[in-house]
Amino acid sequence: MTASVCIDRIGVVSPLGIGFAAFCQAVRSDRPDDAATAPASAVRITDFRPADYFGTRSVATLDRMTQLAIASTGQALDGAGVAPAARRATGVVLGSAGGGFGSISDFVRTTYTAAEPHLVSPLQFPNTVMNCAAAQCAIWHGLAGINASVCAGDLSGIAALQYAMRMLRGGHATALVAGAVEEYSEFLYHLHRAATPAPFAEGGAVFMLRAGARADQTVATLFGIRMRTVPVDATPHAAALALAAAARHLLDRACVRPADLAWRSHQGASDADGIGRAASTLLGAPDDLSVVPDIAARRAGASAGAASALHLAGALALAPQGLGILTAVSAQGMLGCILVDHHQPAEHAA
Amino acid sequence: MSTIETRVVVTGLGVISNIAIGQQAFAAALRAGVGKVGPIRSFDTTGYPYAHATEIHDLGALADDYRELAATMGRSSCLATLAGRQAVQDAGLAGDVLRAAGAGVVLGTTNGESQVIDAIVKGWLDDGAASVPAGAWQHAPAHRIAHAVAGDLGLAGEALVLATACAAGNYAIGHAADIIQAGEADVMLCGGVDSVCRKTYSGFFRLGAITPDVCRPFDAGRRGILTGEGAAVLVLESLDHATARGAHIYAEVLGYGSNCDARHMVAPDQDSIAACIRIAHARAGITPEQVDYICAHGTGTRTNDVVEAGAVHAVFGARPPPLSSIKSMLGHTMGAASAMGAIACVLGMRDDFLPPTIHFEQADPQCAVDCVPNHARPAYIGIAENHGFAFGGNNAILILRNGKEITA
Repeated sequence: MTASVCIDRIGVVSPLGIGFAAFCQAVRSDRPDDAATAPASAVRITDFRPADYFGTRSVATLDRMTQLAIASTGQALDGAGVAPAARRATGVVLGSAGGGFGSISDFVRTTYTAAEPHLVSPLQFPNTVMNCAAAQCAIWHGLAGINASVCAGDLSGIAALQYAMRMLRGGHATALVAGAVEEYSEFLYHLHRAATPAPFAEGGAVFMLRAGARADQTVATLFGIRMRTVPVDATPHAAALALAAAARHLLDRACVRPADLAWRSHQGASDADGIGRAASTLLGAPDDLSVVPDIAARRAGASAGAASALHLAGALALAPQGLGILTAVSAQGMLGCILVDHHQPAEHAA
Repeated sequence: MSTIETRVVVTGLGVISNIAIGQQAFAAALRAGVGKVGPIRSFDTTGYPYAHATEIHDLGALADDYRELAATMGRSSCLATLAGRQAVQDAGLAGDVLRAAGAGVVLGTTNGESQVIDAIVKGWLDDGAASVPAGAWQHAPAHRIAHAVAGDLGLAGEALVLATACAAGNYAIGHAADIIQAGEADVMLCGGVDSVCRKTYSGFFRLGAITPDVCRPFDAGRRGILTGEGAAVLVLESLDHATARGAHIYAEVLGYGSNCDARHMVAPDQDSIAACIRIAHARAGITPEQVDYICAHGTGTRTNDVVEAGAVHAVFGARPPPLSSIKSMLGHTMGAASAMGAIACVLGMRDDFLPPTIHFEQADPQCAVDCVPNHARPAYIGIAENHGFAFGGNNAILILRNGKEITA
């Protein structure tokens, strides 16, 4: 069995709530999932107040994605009580579909609209590099450890958590904040809508991770993450087979039987192709497995590169205690699954 | 972690660059000190005081393959796919062996499909967002470059992009080694890719960082970078897997170190880079005296070269090993840069030479390094250190050992 990784705290910025406590409260509130509550085509976070995180310091050069990333990582670090002295040894791993598309596209647009193409803003240039948000999180919070920016489409959050787990297990780090964030930008909105009719929701979730066994006050233990690729034109059955194989690999490595699973959750507002359900059946999971909805996708919308991270945060807000498996499939043929042990009702950890 | 450490080796190389296509030609070009700078063709340069780069203008025998790929994907994906094919062929790995080995792809990039994004923004500006075809949007996300390589080779492992700017190639190689060491795959493709683009050229031009003529790293008269492009892909393999199939082993990945300055978005930090070198040495289990050659980040900007040389002196003392910058030849290939560097180290090991820093005229006393000026130098490289630094203070340093020294 490989070394485990604990989730100490969760930071969330979502239209459903700022902070994990508010997010939990919102997703558990009794609200029917009917058409009347279906989200608009794009949902932004309306109650994010930069002053709550940045005080009077000027944030004019930080784009929104960076602000959301700094805010959510700050929640996780502060909640976990990571002292300033320990922060130099801590790192950050952030997923997204491709960095701050808003800053990137604005900058490119300026090369066409300015009097001369090179008369762009030197202060905005760093925002157009895809590692900007993670790097600014490091600067803002003083995190000098591992710093990575990870892109895997709608599964970027899973990829970031997987990267972080490998860093922790491989001894590159002992504590990392990992997750994914997306801002609303016109560019990303159009990109998103070209791929899916699902509404787009701004947001992000990050997880304070530590190498080591379960301790008091930890939210969950990550046992393993596995990602696979199938051809873009693979049938739902082929995808389910690959997903089940990936899940079985995780269970075997963790010395866990399918019968030990208490719950499962599939990424997205619905499991339209039935891939998550089919994978669970192929895996041999119990028929009475509790099925936890991807509440963020259902209530707010799909969040592109942040979707997987918000899926996990939502699952940990709603899932029963015990072992669960999260599954995800992207339209581009990427598959991912997470094996996680949910320790306690989340309000104790919020 | 397993109790018996899995050793990871390099068994295949693919290179698409402005100075050469393929590892054999690349080795010859590095040894000959070939540098090519040309007028930018990939975007309209009207209005720039000057516009030159190290673009790839001649794909040689791969031109038809490129055209075929370009019908369905962006330029970075095309370049990465071509390099991936080369690397797999160089390693002598058939598709079924790759799939049985659980092979996947990890690629580093600074700008991903930057030319696709440029074109979308231009089309949107001219005719509105609705005029941009759905397919164009779908090529824009960064993961497409890794997915293109995985799809082309029919790989079932993970396809991941590390967008850690100009250190991304080393990040990708290091992470691919981590995946093999963790027993999650026996073979991984890894490296970096970027395309010359309007955004990056404009940004660096605005910062005054684009040289008006050639790139002269460590030279007193250096005036900046040349934006470049290309793809560099390595096949990494567990030593057991490589040995069992009788593969040629170029080099061993001894380890890597990675950290973050956490101080400034664009100004590199000498202490942090020195710390990163020490982390890399510790993880590779070597001491500074064992390093025979350093493939520098060596951008040719005033700041980078002084800071990098200072960090090297801090770790290695007054007489560091030779340290050269292949950016003098290739320009700055951004996310591909440190993967190009890794391949340069490996080829120098194979063919017993140190790649030169070309265009070198006058030493800068602030740098005070042996940058292998102008001419490749015959030398045996036992252990090489490959530097990659980036905007955002992302540092990654890779340590490689000559394959001739491997005893299984």
